[in-house]
Amino acid sequence: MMEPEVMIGIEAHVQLNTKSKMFCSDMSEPGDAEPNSNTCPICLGFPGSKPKVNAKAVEHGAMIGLALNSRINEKMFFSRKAYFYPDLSKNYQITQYEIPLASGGFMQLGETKIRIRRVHIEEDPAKLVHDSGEITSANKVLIDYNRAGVPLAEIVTEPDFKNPRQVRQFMEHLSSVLEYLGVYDPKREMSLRVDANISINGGERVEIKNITGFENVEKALSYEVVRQSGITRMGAKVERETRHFNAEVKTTSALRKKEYEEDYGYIFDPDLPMITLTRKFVDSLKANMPELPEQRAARLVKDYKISDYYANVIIYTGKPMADFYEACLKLENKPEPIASWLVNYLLKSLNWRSERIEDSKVKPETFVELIRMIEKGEVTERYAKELMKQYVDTGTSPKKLAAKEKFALSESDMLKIVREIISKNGKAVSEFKSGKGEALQFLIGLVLKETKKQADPKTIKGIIEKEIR
Amino acid sequence: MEHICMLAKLNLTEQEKESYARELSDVLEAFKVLDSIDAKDEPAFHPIEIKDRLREDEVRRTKWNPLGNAKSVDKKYFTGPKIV
Amino acid sequence: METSIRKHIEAIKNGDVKLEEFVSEVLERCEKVQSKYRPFITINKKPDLKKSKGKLAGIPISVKDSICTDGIQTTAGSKILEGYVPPFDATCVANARKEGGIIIGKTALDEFGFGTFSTNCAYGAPKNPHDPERACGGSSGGAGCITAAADFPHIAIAQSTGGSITAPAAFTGTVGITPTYGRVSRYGLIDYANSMDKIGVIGKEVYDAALLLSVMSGYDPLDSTSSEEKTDDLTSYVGKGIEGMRFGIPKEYVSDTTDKKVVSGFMKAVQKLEVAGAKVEETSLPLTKYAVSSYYLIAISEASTNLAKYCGLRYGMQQEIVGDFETYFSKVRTAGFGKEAKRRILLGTYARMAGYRDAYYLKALRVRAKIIKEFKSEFKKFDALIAPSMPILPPKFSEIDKLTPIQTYNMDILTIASNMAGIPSLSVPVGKADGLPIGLQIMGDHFAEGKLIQIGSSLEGR
Repeated sequence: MMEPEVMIGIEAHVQLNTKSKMFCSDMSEPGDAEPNSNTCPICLGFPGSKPKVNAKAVEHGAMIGLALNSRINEKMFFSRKAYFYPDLSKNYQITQYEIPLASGGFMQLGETKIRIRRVHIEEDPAKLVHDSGEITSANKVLIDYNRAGVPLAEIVTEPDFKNPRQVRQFMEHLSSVLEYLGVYDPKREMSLRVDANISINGGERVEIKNITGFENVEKALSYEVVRQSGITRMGAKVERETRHFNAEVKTTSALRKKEYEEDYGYIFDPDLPMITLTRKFVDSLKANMPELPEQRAARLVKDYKISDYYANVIIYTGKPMADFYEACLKLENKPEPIASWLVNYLLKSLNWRSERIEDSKVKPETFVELIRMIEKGEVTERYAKELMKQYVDTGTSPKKLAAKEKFALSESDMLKIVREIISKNGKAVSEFKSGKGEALQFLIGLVLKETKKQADPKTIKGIIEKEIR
Repeated sequence: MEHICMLAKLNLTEQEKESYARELSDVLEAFKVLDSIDAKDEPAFHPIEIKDRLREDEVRRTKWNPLGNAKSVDKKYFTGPKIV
Repeated sequence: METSIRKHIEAIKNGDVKLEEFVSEVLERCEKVQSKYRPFITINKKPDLKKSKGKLAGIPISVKDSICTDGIQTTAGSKILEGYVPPFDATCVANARKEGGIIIGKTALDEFGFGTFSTNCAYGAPKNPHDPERACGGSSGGAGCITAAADFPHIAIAQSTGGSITAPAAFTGTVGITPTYGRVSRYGLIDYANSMDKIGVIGKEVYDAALLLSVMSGYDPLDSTSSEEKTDDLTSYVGKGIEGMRFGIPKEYVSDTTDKKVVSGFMKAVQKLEVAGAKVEETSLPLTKYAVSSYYLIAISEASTNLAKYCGLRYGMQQEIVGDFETYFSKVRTAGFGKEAKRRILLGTYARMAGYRDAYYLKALRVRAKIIKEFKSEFKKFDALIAPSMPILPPKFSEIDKLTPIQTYNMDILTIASNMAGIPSLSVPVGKADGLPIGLQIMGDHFAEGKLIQIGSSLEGR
């Protein structure tokens, strides 16, 4: 059976982490505030209220446009997208239609170039809570406008994706870029949502709305490929519709079909001014752009000579991890071991605790302590791994932990043991002196036994050799 | 007319639909006078050019009772009609 | 009781007025006027008298009911906002209160401003004090009515989108000032057409209107369309004289569809202007014939989105929540909106539809640009343009019932272009015919309110 030809385009919505909302001065991040406590007449659409544009949101939007290689339009306007829905306080959304903030960009995903049609800014609708939990069986909705009016950037791609996996990769990369730009907080729930349009073999487009989570995006689209292929194989036609992804059962289902075609009747919003994005403004933004993930990864490789692999893991775990790494390097200039232990062991421990570096008790000062101990041979690699776990759990200084648990052998302890072994094994020593390599191994083995395998063989070797000479 | 009523969320009786439809087409006929003018000017969104009115990104809380005019509330939520 | 604002201010300053007694008397008289002519939707029975210090100290002020007043019902003349009590003051109201103005009530209007005679008011049309079988004009009909009928000092806050201050001023024989777009903050004004709505004033004399307008004008950071242009004390322009000024009468504004009695009254006033030292000539505004269509296209497009928020949630008319949102919204909106509102919503929705918006909405925006240019070039030649305020004398309610929508829209022909262009205008009464008032309007360049006041005051009291 032939693989279906898949075409996918997406619209990603990002909640921008400005301090205030898009058109009013309520908090942009209401968190768990009591419902409707983070509101004002403007975001609640009270008669007579008027919006006013948040300058920071414009800046953030422009930065996203620049990071996606787009052209920033010189003049931009806001439009009213009119449709009725209980989550829209004015029954129109203030967005950008004709003339958005940025257009004509792209993101390179390996070999594939994903073209970005436009980037624009708009306001988020309110949150609907269905009184029986599920959208399809509720009697009423409960509406919380705390989120209404939060600034959103919408990133629209051309239908350049050829499979669901690419979409996931795009979203992961996009999320990193947004994080490094400082316009988005990945920890904030629901702050990055995707609407995806998918068609197979040139058939009708199906839209899946409001997917959160990169895994879910891939799953939803994979399900659609299977579903749509199934339909066409039966000889039927795929219908153009809007569907919703159910994360629990991992399927998409059709939202109620509208009997009419929505026509948003766009007009320019006459309460808002034209915004000019001057050359000067754009140039100054460009000059002050934060380092993008690819740029930072390249810099790590170039400046610190670590592998691409390590650099990518550090960068794409998240900006706090990259900051952590470089903070460690300031205290102890050992890029390779720090990277190695970070990637191979620290991350494991954090993941095991489902913890992010910025929320954990791990700090650069104490982490480099551990690295130093390892480098000096004060702990064996095996015990270092144990120590790492405890350190991540407690945040206690590794030195203290080691002393408590007797993980570490001090230099003088080691020397004592080596000298003892040497004095008790004169035959092996003279054999070593006359060139017999196995004798050294024998001595190392004895020291290891004595230290109950706590010491590092390489270190032992070094000390023995020194003592004998 | 049906379609416009759907978009505008207005229920009209058959009679009303007819009479509004007639009025609408009269008015639209009248609008056709604009066909005779060739306007290549830039559209005037406001009578006076208004640009770059922006707000500093600062939080200012409003002390008020948002639920004060609502007849139907549930704890601190507004209640509304269901989606489907 | 004295009705002169100037004299009342003197009396207040001299301490001759006992505020509580005075206000109580005023409210009683309001009730009397209300039962005769019905200018109010709500009378504010317990106004705040504490802060009565400032330029408007002790002056009763009425507010058109499309302008939000904190704690006082605001309906925009519609059933769909019945019972709505705003939690904030419109900026212009806050400014008036700050200067000591006493808010005595909310005046009747055509629902959301949709109309020329205030007959589309869901709470009853106000009756013309000169002849109660006739309309007061609209949409600020209630404001014109109470200003004319008040036998106490009073100034009205009114509002205009296509001529809604000039029409009632002309029909009730009062002074109306429609300022430049952006002069007075629109924050708190219940929107009709955001790019054309202006808050203005109606008063018995030019001085009164100038006083209130000065207090309300000025930049408001809450309104992104608010002008940063400097404001000054407009009362200083009263009585300054018009010697040497040049006025133009656009010939399209005095046509054979204008009532001959109106023309006659208007021309008599023009003679007085010439006697006072002004030069008056005929001029032409050829784009006038496109004004009504382009105005309405812009107005209905904007209005149909502004009215979308009224759907029975959070404020105003709300019903039992049954059914899905489409059913519920439609039910409430159908019950709450009047005929003209529905008409404009339907029209506006249509005009915005993909496939039509380029031919209609966008074209109208271009025509507006042209009309503004045309006015601007006129004001290079003239200090002001003058014309009759309305093409007819105040009509009987029975006559209004017979008008088709198009005939009604065309009543605005004399005010619509200037309103769309956002230029200021002042309407001043210049006599009567058959006992009914005739208004003369003076149109000026953007921000030329002072000059208009100067000219208008020269026509007063003659």
